[in-house]
Amino acid sequence: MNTVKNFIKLSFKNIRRHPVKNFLIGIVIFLASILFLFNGSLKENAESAWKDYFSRTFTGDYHITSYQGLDRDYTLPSFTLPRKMISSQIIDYLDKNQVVYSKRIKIGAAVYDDKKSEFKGSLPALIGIDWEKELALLSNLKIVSGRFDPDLPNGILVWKEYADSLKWKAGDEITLYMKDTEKNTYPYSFRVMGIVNHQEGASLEGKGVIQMFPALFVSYQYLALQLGIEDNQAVEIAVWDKEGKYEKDLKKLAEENSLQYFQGTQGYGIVFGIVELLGFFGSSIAALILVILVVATLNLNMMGFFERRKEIGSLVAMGARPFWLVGLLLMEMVVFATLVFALACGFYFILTQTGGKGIDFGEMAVFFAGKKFTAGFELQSVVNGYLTILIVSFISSIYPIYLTTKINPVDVFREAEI
Amino acid sequence: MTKAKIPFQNVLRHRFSSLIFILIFAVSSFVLYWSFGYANLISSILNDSFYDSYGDMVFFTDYFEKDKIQTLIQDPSIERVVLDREIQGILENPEKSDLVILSELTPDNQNRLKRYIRPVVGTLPKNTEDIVVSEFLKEGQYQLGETVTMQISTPDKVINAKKFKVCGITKSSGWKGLGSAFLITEESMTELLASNRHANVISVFLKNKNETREAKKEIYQGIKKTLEENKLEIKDSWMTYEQMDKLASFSGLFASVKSLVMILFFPLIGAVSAAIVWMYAFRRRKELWTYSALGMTHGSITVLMAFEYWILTLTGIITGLGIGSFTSYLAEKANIWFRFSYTFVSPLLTEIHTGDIVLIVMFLLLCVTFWIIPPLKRIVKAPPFSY
Amino acid sequence: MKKIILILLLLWIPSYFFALSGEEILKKSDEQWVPDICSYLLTMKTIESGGDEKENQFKGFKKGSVKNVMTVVKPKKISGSVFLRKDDVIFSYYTTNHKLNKVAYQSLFMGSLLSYGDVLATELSFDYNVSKTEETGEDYILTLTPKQGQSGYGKVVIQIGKKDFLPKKRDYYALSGILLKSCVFNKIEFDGKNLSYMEQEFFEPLKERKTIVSLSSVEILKDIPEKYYNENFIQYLSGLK
Repeated sequence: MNTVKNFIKLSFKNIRRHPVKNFLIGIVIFLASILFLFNGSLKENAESAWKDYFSRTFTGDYHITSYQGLDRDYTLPSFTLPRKMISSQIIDYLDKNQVVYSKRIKIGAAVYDDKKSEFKGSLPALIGIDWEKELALLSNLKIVSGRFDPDLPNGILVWKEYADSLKWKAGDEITLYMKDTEKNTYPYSFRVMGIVNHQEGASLEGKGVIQMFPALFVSYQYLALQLGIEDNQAVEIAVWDKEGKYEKDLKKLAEENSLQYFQGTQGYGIVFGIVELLGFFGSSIAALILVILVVATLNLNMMGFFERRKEIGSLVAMGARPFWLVGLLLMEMVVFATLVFALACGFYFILTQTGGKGIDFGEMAVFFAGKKFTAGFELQSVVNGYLTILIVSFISSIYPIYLTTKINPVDVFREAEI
Repeated sequence: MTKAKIPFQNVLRHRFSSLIFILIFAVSSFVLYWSFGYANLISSILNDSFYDSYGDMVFFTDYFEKDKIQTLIQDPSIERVVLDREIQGILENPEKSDLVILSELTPDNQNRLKRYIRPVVGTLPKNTEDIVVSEFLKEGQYQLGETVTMQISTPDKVINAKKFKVCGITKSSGWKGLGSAFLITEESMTELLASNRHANVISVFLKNKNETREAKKEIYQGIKKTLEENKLEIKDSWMTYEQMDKLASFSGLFASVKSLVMILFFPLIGAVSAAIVWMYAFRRRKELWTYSALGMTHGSITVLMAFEYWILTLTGIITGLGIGSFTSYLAEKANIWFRFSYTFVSPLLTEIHTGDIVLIVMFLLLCVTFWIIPPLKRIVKAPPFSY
Repeated sequence: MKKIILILLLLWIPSYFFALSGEEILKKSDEQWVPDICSYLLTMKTIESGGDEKENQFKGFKKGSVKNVMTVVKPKKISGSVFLRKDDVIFSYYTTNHKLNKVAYQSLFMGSLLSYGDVLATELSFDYNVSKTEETGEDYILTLTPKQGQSGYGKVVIQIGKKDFLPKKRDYYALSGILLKSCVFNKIEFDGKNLSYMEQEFFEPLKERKTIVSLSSVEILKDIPEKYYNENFIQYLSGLK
């Protein structure tokens, strides 16, 4: 314990002894650290903003679906129902733990233009929901025209952008072809009782060349009847569990029953792709900086070694063992990296507190579901960033430390040109 | 002359430190090459893909006779009218049936679309039995060499079918069929439709790509009216700039990558350069003071040293850009693709312009100049042999 | 010798001049097995390559070559839905949406491998020309191509018995010559002069599945009211017998 204490003391002394060099290395580590934290924040902002948006607008905090693979998608839904429904084991678990959830039926439907006798556009997602439960939970949805009529069995609420693209309005009667549980495809009539939109967020309207949210909401009971789905069965479960208390168990249950678990973003492949793209950018830039950090710190550590050969030679001459020297140098590296990283965290923390209501990225707000970017302090990013800095510093110190163990004190005190 | 020789000699004399400095700038310029190159590629794909696929405006209609349409659509602003065929059909084999969009690859559109249609396996269709399938939402469903049958309805409303062999699998088809069209040769399409007189896609290319929106809209409305007057039903149509507006934010993001990387690199590389220069200049302080003692001014010593570092920087830049170019060539051969969900698909390629090279060189030189002068000056200005 | 030659000539010349043309053979065949005005029960059983089976049943009323209407008996879910062929147009009325729609000739019918045209256009002579006529010992082999402006297959090759002019086999080809489906007439039974039962087996080589179509409870009628073929009336048909 004393040895460690002495090492730390010596490390601080040595760091202070080479201020300019350490200051400059410190800038590099500082920048890299800020970038890690910022990158983590970017990703977290994007994920949580979209998660919140989807949770209150379309899908709940997370979903369990019996669709396989990309058939789960809400932007490009599958025309065929999955082979099996959600197992009772999951429903029982949800009921037993009084989790807030809703059973759903989701299916892709082909829109038929009765006047022109032809099909139009790509398949929208027809989502059978429990009106009473979900309209309360989907708090970001508002009816912008028409009205919700619980007594209209085949009434649908249509997402505004999608309705506009097909020139639908409240009161229109539409025909959708759907494939039922017997794999028969028949046309069904629906009445547009209202047009819905979000109260806030997304900023995806008018962006992208396909309909992002081709969502039509209909009564679960009505859709189940038309498709021949037994009462109380579900194709999907939407779960509202913000803290994620039951997430782990439900994930496990989904896996055991060969079902898919996904969060709202992942149910809309397009948005998921946008978030992944952002993550990719951040990671690429972080990786680039790491490469430069490794090269730079390797070089500076090498130069540091040459500069301190006499110092190290003196220590060896006084009887210091190689592992002691290695320990000292490593401790210096750890202490320095930790100090700089802590400074970067402190600086970043101040930034997050003084950031006010957040930064509006304008057109780029699409990455954050239309919300302002709020720099946050993510524990995971701190841990990842710190570990990365330490590892990089360690890698760049390996060779100089190795050279240290080979020092001959006699040679050191000869004049030599490098 | 002597003053010019000294930096070169110093570079060779201090080989280790020179190598380190070159390495730093080689890595930096390599990174800048790829950042700029990739951002340019994506930006230009987003900006050009719609135009390359469908021109300034496009009309998807019922089948029409090509000769008739060519005479109908006339306007002095129009450079050319391209008549293609893009149809829906059912692709079948014993295990599956898929409703797909089938597009023909003509020599003309293949030339325009070659940037986007790069099969991840296999080749583009050459023979009439060849078909390139899209992986969009169908990943792993089709294998190279597999035989499939395409069933369609001809312009004369007769059912036709044709067997194809999967010759290639692609992640993108430009914007043909919303990026997911299956591709066959022109001859193959003629066989399938039993006609080369008919087409159903009208793409209009204007002489002036930068024509005002109002002018484009006028031409668009005019063509629409002409087609309607001739009782040709238009199923869908758009002007390319409308689609580009929808992608503007994504295009802007990639265009801003260059600026972002430069903003990050300036302090990063600068700090590294400054640290290196400080340490080496400190070690060579006796050399510098000797110059001073010999009567050289502080300014000329600084320039002398700076010149040495410029040589190293330029060497590093040339090395880095060379490696960047070579790795770009290798990446193109390897045909690597990125996919983020089904939103964004792109090949790992670069598109570097002369202006980018000039920018990279100027930026790095400026960076090194800005950051090395203060540590050099500090040492040079200190009383000679004082420490 | 000269007398024998003369007798043979006298027999051959009329047969040459009075031999039936392809069109006539086809028309005769159509008339032979499908009564002109009748009601019937049509049952369709589709068997997928995996073994899954699906059965549909319809009550139909045929009047001449170009008027045929069917109401769905099975599946119960869409019982009362109606399909009408009138001249060149096919209409559908589903009880799931209570709307009248036009349907394309080639659209697949009720999840089977038959098209609407296959089911509702029973008399090929109306939609197809005979482009080639061949004969074997027992059968006529006719090659049919669609008439100008008519929807249809690229080519239909049918085998008709010489003795009874009943169809034996039909092969449906795409324009390219790919065989899309085959149909074999397993049974054609008569009650006196009138058709009492008919069974066809359709097979689709591309997907290795088959549909068995049987016609039963055939009742010859003197007439069928025109309103049965009025697209605005067909929604009421299910209540009629």
